[in-house]
Amino acid sequence: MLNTSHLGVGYRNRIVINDACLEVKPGELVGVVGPNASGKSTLLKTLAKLLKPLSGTVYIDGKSLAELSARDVAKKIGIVLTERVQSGLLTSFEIVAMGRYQYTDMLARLTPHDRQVIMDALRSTGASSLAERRFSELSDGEKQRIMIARALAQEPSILILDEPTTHLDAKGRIEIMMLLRKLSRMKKIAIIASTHDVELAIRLCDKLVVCSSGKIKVYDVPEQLVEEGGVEELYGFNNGLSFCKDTLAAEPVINDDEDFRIFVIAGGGSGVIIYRLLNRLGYAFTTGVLHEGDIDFIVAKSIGGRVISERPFKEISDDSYTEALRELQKSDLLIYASPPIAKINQRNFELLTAAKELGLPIIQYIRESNIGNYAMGIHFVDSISLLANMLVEYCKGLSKDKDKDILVAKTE
Amino acid sequence: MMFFNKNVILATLYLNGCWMDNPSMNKGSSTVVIGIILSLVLGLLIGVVSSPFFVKPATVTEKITFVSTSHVTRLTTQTHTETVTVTKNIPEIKYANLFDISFYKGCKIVKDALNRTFILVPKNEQSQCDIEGIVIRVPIERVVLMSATQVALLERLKELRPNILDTVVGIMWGRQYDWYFEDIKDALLSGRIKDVGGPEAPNYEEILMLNPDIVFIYAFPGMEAMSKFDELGIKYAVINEYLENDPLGRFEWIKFIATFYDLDTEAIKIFNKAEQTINSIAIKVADNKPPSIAWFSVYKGIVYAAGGESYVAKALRQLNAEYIFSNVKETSSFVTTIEELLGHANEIEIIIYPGIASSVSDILLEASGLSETSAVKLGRVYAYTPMIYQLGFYDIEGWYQDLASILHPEDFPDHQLKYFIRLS
Amino acid sequence: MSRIVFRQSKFFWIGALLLLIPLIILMSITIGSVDIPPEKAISKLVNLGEPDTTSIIINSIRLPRVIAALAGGAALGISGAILQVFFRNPIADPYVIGVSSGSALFIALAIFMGTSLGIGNPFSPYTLYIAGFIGALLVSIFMIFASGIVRSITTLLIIGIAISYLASAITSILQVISDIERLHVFIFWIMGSFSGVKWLFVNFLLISIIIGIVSSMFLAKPLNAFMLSENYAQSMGINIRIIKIGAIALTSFLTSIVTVVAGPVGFIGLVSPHISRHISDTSDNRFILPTSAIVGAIITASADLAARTLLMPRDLPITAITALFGAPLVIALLLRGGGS
Repeated sequence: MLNTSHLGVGYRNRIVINDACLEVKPGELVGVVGPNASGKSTLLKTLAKLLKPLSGTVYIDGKSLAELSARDVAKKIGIVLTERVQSGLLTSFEIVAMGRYQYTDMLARLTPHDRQVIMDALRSTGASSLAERRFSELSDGEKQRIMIARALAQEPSILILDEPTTHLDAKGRIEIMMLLRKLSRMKKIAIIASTHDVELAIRLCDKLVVCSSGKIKVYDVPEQLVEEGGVEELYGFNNGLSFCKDTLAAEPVINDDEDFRIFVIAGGGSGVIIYRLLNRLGYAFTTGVLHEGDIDFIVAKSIGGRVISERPFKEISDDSYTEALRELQKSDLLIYASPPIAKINQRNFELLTAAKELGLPIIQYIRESNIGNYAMGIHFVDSISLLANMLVEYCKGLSKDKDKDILVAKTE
Repeated sequence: MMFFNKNVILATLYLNGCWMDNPSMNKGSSTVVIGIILSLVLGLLIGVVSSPFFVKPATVTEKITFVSTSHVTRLTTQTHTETVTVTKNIPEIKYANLFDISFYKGCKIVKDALNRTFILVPKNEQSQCDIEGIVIRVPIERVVLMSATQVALLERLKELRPNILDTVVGIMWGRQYDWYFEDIKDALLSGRIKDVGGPEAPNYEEILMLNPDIVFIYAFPGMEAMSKFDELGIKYAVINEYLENDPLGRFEWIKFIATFYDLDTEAIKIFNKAEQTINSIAIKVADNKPPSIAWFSVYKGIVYAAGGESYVAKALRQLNAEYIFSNVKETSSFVTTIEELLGHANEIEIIIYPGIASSVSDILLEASGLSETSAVKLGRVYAYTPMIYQLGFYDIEGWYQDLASILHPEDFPDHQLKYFIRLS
Repeated sequence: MSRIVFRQSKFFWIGALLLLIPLIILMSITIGSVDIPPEKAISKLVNLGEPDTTSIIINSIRLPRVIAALAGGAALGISGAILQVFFRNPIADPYVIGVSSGSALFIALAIFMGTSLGIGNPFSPYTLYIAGFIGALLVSIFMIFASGIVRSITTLLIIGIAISYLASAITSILQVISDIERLHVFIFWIMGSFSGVKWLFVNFLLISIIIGIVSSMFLAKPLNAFMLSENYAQSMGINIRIIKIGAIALTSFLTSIVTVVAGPVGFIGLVSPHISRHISDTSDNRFILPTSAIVGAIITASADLAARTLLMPRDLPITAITALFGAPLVIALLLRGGGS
């Protein structure tokens, strides 16, 4: 269908991507990802013949793109760009009808067949109801559907989309990508879409093309990229940002306040929300003892918490317990996330008792779902906002005290 | 300044130095050649684009080469003209360069400022003339005028033909002026004389309705009206007296207008009388020490001065004065700098500002360096009075008289200035 | 279906506007400093009865003038519509491509330098027409050439504006070094008026306008695609270069001719497309181009009628009238429509 051999793309004499070899088959949804200015748009524009290749060739059905007439290209390739469209008073129908450019006469009069194609295109993007609305009055997501329908009205065998999900909200992004996936299957067309949304691309695309440092790398199985740690590499993730392979989520890591330590006893998903709260407030934390693979374990790790862990489905060992206890002694505050306690994590309860004995301030957080699972004699809260307020108040006092201690030490 | 009273603008055309070179007359051949080439190109364009619609203009512009040594007489005696010797007044053209009157086969042959030929045939007579030209039946009875100078010339002819203004049916910009000629003013107010629009966009339909025997116009470069008149078949004659570089040459156009009224003798009388008066003024001042004079206006730092070959320079020379720019070979006004002007500062004894100014300080505001000139120190700075634009041309002797008394006040101790005002 | 009704309403507007044209012609040939009753005017128009002064007034003064105004207005309306879409700029008008400035420059050259350079006969009424035409032509040729090599349309817009400034700069230098009398002539010329227009030019104008309107219909479809963007247009298989050259060539041709005949007539090219978009309630150029031509024709002819009758017997510069009445109209339309 579409393939390239040793394609070099760029502007004038500035090569952006070199030696790109790529093959796209009908019915495939190909995601093109890469950091900003990695040449995604340039690559797509070259594939769509909006730019001339600097070297190499693009083939469509075995024919060189350069040899195809503009008219033929228009019937093979439909595009959706990021450019702002000046639609004036045009209705969505009229916009989609422009896709029939190469099929209509000089005055662009539509035949019943043209109308049929246009309505089909609108229907397949779920935009039939928008047909008579002014394009300029639509939401971004609706506009994107119309622009896709317009490209479909060209009856192309290849659809090329540049950043179709920018400007859209989370739901819109997913919907558009799902729509593209559906279209590729339903119409048996090849769809190539660039996106910033790697997490989504990994989830939905059949193939990934990764552009970075002037090269492309093709992943026939997107998960491969995750396993190879390619995502972190792609975006140059370092301190401050981490990519969680398990949740396919990029996580910001903040914990910049190292003045005091907070210990969290959690497990079985009870800690996730607390970790995120602590991370957002910028407090470093230690948590334990968690079993590897537990969601608490995954999240705490990905946002840079110190995690004391035990192998899955094993009772907490002495080693882990001792380590946890040591950390607990160094901590200024304990948050007890009220994890479900069973035999394998029984000793987390012992940690709580130890903390009481140490005289460590303790806050217990009880989610509604965990009701009844609370430890006696501990101050507890049952709303996350209350917890947040308490934390902020408490930590303020804590830093003041510390300053005092330092003062005392100095005067002595 | 460029938007001030139309009256003033129009009048400056003839008083503030000549408009521009006089190409069709002086620069002769090259202009004609280029003109022919241009008209060929245009003709080609016209022919290709819209030949079926093209209306051939009635104007004839080629040069007629007959030489006439005979002289026009009053047409009332013209039945004999061809053989009879000339007995009476000779409308010899002494000063003007831009028109010509001659006599041929019982008709007057008149050339206007654009060298167009008119054949003036007396009413109720057959033309024997075999020359191509625009035939006008004389004396004319319905006239449309374009400028105040033309009105002024007719007003002069009124001395000998009191009802001549009854022939005027329209004046361009007529109601735009403040008229100093009461009869014109009244006739315009009463509507007997129509205002027929501005020179750049005349009201053609009004002119058509007036059905004039002739429209007297002045021509300026880029004037559209002539071609439209051609298309409409309206007859017009071009009076470009403002291009003459002699004050008497300008005034001599009275003969041109008069001949359309068969008033040749009257015109000659008026002209000769004026000429004599002016000559006697000139003689009176001829032995004085010539004063040095500057004649310019200044606006936004640009000096507009009369050229050394303009009618102003000519009049100054006649009246025994030294014009500071007399060596500038320019027949109209020319543009120069204040510095150039100040280069002459120690000579300037008299300043004449060809425009309306209220005080010397108005002029010093633009060119403060002039404050050291003897003209300013001794208070010999003059400007125009508004009436000069109409009456200055009508009363050319008065204009000379004023000028002479400014230049040589000792010879005219009791003279009251009319067209100029001494600024304080 | 609602769609069909919608379409019909667009045609309805075009029809209604077309009907206004005979009306405006009738008004123009009857109103003036000489009163001619309509029935007489019509009979003179179709050459009934003896030719007299009235028939000359109608056939040689009023008729050529109203036809020139209609044709000129149509040319400006259509040029404005094309350029607003082409430059993706709602304030583009036919003069952004520098044609009138080029024309003014050459007229200024002819007036201010003509006699010193010995060019032509300054008193010939055709000298300045030719000069104006040469100026407009040179700028047009340059712009067409530029449109062939410049990639971005915005660049082209800037080049056009730069040329305007360049020509105006030289023109203003010429004005400064010239004397007041010639300046006055120049100002008369560049003010713009259909006064005294001759059949020769009217025919020339009419033929050009017909050619222009017909060829503009070839542009309607690609221009629609241009509304999306240049890249989209290219992706639909449009030869961008040809359309660029075509749009610039057509508009500069039309604008040149109007400028030569009547001087720069401002505002028509700017407002006609806006008004036609409003009344036909679409941005589809297949409707906007002809509607804009008709609207331009009607506004110009009405403005010309006003220009010659408001301060009779004076003829006012037409741009003054078009702006005086057009500006409030377009502001009202845009405010009411929320600005399209």
